[in-house]
Amino acid sequence: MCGDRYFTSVYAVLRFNLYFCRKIKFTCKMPCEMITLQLGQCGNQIGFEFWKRLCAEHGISPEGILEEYATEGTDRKDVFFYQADDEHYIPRAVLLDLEPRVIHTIMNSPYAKLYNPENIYLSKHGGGAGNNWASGYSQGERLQEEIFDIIDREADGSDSLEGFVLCHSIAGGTGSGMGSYLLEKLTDRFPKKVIETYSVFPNQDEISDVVVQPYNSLLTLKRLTQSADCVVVLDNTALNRIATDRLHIQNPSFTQINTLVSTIMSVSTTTLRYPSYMNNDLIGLIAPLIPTPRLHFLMTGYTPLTTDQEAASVRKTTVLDVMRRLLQPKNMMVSTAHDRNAAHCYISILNIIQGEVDPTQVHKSLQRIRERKLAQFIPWGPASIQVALSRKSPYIQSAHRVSGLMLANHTNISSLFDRALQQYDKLRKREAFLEQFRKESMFKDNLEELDHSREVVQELVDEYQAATRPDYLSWGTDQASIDS
Amino acid sequence: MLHEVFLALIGYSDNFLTQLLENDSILDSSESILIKRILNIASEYKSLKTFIDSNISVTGVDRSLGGSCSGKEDIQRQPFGVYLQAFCCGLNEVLVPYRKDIADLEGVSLTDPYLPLLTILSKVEEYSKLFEVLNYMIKQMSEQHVHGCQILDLLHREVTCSVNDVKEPLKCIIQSCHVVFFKQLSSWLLYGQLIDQYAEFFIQHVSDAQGTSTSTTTDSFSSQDTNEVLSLEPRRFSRDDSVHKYAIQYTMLPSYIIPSLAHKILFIGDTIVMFGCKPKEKNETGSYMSQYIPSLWGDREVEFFKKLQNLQAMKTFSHTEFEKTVDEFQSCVTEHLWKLAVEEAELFLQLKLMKDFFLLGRGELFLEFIQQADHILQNPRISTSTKAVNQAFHMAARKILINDDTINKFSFMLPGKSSSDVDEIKGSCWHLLTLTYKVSWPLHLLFDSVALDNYNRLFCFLLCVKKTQLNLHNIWRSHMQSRTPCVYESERAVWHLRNRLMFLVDNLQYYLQVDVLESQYMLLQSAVQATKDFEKIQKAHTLFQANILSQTFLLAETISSGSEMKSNPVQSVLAKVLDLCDRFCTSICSWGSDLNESQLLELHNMAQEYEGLVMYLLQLLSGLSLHPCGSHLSQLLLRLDFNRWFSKEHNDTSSYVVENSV
Repeated sequence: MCGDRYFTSVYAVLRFNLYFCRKIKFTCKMPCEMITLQLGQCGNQIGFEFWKRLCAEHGISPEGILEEYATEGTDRKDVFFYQADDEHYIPRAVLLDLEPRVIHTIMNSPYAKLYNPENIYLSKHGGGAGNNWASGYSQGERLQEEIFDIIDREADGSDSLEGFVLCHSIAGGTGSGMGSYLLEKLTDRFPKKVIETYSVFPNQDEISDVVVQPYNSLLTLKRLTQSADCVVVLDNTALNRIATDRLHIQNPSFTQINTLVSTIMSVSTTTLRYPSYMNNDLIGLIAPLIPTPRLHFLMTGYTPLTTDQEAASVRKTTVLDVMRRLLQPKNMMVSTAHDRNAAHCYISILNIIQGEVDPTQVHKSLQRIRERKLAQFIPWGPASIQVALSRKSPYIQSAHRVSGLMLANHTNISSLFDRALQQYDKLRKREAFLEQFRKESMFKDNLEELDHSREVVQELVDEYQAATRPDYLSWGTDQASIDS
Repeated sequence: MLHEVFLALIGYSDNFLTQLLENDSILDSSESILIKRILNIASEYKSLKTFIDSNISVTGVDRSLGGSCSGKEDIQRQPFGVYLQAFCCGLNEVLVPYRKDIADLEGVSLTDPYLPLLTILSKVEEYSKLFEVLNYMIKQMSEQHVHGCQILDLLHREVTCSVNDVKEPLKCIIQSCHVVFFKQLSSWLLYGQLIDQYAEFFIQHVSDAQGTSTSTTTDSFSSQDTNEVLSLEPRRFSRDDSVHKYAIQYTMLPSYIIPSLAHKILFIGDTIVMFGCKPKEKNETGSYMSQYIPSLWGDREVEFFKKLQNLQAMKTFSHTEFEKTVDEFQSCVTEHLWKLAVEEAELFLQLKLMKDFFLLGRGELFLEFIQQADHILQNPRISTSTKAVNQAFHMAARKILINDDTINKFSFMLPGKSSSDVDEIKGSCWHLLTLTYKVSWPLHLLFDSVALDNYNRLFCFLLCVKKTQLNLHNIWRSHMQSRTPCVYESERAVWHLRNRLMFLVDNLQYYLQVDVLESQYMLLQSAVQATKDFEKIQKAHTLFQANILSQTFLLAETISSGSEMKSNPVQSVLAKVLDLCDRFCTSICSWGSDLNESQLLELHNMAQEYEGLVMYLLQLLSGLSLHPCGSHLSQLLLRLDFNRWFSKEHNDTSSYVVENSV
């Protein structure tokens, strides 16, 4: 007994020392760190592409070691990576999946050694969620302790954590179901942290093999509305169209689509990762875009969208050209239906322009865009296009001198949710495929959760519709609140 | 008698002849007229000779040893000087042909005892005009105490308005004086050394000039004048050590050297002196100059010296040649300065640092700094505040991974203003914050204290905007937590006011950083990169500062009536907006999500105030943007009124009167 206690205390001292050493090592930490959570097949795939891209931009080898040429050192690697004791850069990423396929692919790639193996979580039975939201959600609930052990450890390791980035799709089982559960939990546990998601919406042009996709989407949309601070919508419909129409790829593979996604993800975080006079933290980036808590679904647009062969051809690359192209629907990563009932408009726009840009051109471009009325804005308040000029990674050779990303809050994104509602209603009317859901405890007794989710999403659509009208300021309240 | 005439003509006693003249009976009347005329010339010559004798070297040494007037003949009392010496030498030289003529005449008279007086007269009368002019000059010199370079000026004036016979000898004298002038000039231009024992050069040691102004007789300039000269002087190098202050003495400046040229000359020497005063840490041995001068002129030293020699040897002073040479000197010096600034002091890097720190180019650093230092700076200043703020700054910098060498150049100060004790009691000392910067030599030419003060004003303003923006973003953060559909109606009102304020501040920030700072900085960069002339860099930098100050509305305008500085109207509105934002943030933080009556009223008042301020601002911007120099105002206007929200609203409520405006 005595001996045991002695050993325990020695062990405690040792542990304390170890902990202390670690702490000292880690005192020089970057503020505004982000933890990336990638869930499910889709989430892990786009996450994988994202990390590949970040490594390339910061000059980090697939093993996590700084390349010899990457000595410039003003970039802020530590926002997304942390430096381990042995000078390895390790992504602040947590990889979660309920089935092993994608994670195994990652672990068999050259990037296997990049990740912290402790941060990779695969459920033990490996059976996946069967494309069922309810299964993913309940498995998330069951596994929460193990998952939050990882997340808490990551959070403790950062100096001033700014928030989480969640990559997932809303249609499958793991990304949508477990993602939903995690979103709810994260808001509870880290109420002060920003949660940004990159959510992949299903392709509407092809018939999905996931029959319960409308249920999954709707249930996830509720969580995205209520628990996320900012959702960057990646619409597979638009991404596929861009791949086929603009990039002339016959049958675009996941990898090709995901390259597009990773581009958007990396550019949208570029002002966080490089020294810049503005938009240095995630809040600074997204707060001006999001006027009221629920209107936080952002569209993206990117230019130039060209294949490698086309890139050689000369393109106009003035600020005006880039900004004009960004306002063209064909460059948008969200496919929106035309809505005759509402005059849809931009709530806010942020353009991140990278490359050699003459800052004096920004004003002139804004002037031209206003003159030509290229963008329609909300009628209930001031709005404008904000232009952030950002650096380009010196380590990536690109044929394009100037490229631009648009993050926009547009009321027409509601058409996407409207579509989800319609599809849900079709399925729900027939009471189709509900037995899969009834198997899970959440839906055992009744389907209230589905009805409630429908309500939430419908209200979101309504709010976006209301935002197209001048009286939006008094929307949602019975009496008119004090004006402006 | 002829011999007596010669004696008189060569400057010796004319007593005999005068006696002869007094005695009418001896001389024929026509003869006496001739003799009178000869005597006139003789006396002119004599006075010249006395002038030379009394001023030439030996006496000069006596004088310089024994004070300005040690009791010699008082008639020709002249302050001693090298120029005077040169003048006398030149004068002597000019008189040589005259003496030779007299000697020749004497020779003739020895062979021909009946040489007519008329022959002598006709010979010496050739000189009468010259002697007259010379005597006039001497008179002027002694009457007006003409000294040093002023002699050059006097000579120059006489030369320009004289005719042939007189012109040549005068030129000869000028040339003799120019020998001295060019000696001084070359030592100044080549080595920055002022060899000027008697304060004769047109560039003077400033402390010297004050000290010796009484001993030099040209005390037309009082100490007050010297101050004026100083303040007019645009370049004040190394203001800290008074040893190396030089200025132009305009009273000494010959009129044929125009002031701008004189400035160039001053600049060249000054810069060379400055090269020599590189801070001691790098030049610990006393080898003053020696280290830099060779590298400055390189192997062109001889070439430049020759150039000056050629100028000196020229018969007539050529303005164009002179100016050309000075320009060559200048370009050589400025190029060297450029080299020092760009290669040794890493000018481009330093400019970047200015932008990164003073102009908040490293936004992430100051984001972190504001968070770190807020708890110190929102409280009244205490004795340890400065230290704590600097610690916070270093901490922030370390987090952003800026290396220590860079960060050590910067430090914060919290100067306590004795007059504004009330302010300090009031609380926050953010506005007191000043950033100091260790300027690396020789960039103090660029970043002098005025420039750094200006940078600091920009810094304070930008930091204030940034801090306000950050506060609003934090409010946004707290608002984002209510995503459920049911919210209090007051909550929406709060959101909307927050949105409006955030819109204003965000767009102001974009305007400041992109439209003003980034754009102007790019212009500066291209201007600096395009030249190898340090002067042009200086000009570009001054222009850069002037532009950013005016476009960030920080240039104060003087109101002629009260002669007090009134801040820019746009600036004062912006200050009010920022203040409103601060009040909004503090109020919101203390309120819950459901507001009571008085809170609602306060919110309403703030919304009203916002409306008023914004309308006034928009009116101001649109009104002034039509002004030719208000193009930057239209840039801010475009950003704020991009979707014509304000202009539309303004039209709707065109009767709106801005009563609570500035």
